[in-house]
Amino acid sequence: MTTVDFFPLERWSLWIEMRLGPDARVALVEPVQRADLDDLVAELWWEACARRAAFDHPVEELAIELAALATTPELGAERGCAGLVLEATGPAGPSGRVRVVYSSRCLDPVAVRTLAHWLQREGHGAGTLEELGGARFELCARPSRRGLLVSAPEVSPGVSLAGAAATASPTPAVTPLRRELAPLLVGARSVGEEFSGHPVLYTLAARRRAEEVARRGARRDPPVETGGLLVGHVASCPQSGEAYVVVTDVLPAEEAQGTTFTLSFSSSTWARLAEVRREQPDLAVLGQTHGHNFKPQDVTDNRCASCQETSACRCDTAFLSSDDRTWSRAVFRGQPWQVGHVFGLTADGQPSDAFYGQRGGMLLRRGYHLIGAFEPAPLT
Amino acid sequence: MKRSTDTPSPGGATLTFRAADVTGTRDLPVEVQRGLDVGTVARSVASLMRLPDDVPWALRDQTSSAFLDEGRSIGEQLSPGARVTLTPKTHLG
Repeated sequence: MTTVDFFPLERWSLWIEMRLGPDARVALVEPVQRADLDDLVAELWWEACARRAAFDHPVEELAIELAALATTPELGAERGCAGLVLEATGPAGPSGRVRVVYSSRCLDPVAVRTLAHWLQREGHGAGTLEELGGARFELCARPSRRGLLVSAPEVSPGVSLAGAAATASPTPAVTPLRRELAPLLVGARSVGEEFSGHPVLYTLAARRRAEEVARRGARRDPPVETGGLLVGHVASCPQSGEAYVVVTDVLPAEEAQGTTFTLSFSSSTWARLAEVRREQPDLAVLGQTHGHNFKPQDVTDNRCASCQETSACRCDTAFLSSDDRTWSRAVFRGQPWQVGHVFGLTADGQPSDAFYGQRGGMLLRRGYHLIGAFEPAPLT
Repeated sequence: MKRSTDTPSPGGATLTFRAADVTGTRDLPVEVQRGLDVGTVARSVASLMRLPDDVPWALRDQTSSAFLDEGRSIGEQLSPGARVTLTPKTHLG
């Protein structure tokens, strides 16, 4: 794959084309708006600033450039882009130039919006798509004078920010805990997939508690989903400048409504979180953990034949569902330090789990460092 | 005359309160017309916070912990200077 030249982010026109049927006719064109890129921009800020000891450098001050990733170089990148590349120079100057590559998949929410608009416009039900043989989405990009569509927030008349409040930033403010990283990694055990991004540390006690909370629902009859929130610290190493995350505890989702395949947090769940944050204002909400307390063959639309032959099946239910991704996008928008831990089962009922972090605008499986106890203030 | 942003007169046409997201990383002062329904206000607050508009949102009173009734006006459910949490009405799956 090759990139087309870099231009300032604002000078690009980006859009999604939805193609339908055997002739792949374009049924709808949906512009990608500046707000659709907030998670991507937040991740670029994390790489260019936070991971270089500059948490206080505002994302708005980054001069961001964009290039499109072409799947077929001879056609250029205007249609069928494989992805986007964002580049910016952090406060460290030219030596701090950072590039992040994003798959076109990270704009799936825009594709979903395109489809919703089409269904609404045509007055169709969701079943229409199957009749038409499905839809295909293409990310398209072109440098243009018109530039990136920046829509004002959709705020009803009669609602406004009070006083002289500034508008919200794509990346919410975070004050990191300053703790040297290297001593924390002495004796740590690496778990899961290799990952080139920032370190995630997970205390042994929090890891155990996450699994206990997530699998609690497996003991019910019928089993239901249970879970909670991963809490801890966003930290910065004063020696290396590296930013990292430490998961230190789990807040169980009290009085949540769990079913076989869903988990809804109640007002009590959120109230408990608010209470803990009042008591420990330095504690950050880092992500969610929950249990898929069902086997792969329990999912009705699972078409894997080998799931029925449990000894041969390699499937498991430790994955982020589309609902999980939507929930995380709503709760942790613009927070590239977010994590997620899902506990599931294999076809023959063995426990499995998957840990996630943001990379390239999406939540992807990643590893972590299992550590002993963690004290926010160094012990003297 | 300097207008207070936290405690407007209880009988005024507008109401000012503070809204935070569930992670506590976004916190904004908001001024609304008292007669607006809570559902409309919740969607607008999500927009002001640059949160996704394809997710339904609810407002939760931080004092009572109760969700506000989205069909009723905000003025009859919230006092001036109240603090609310903008909460996604979506579930894990």
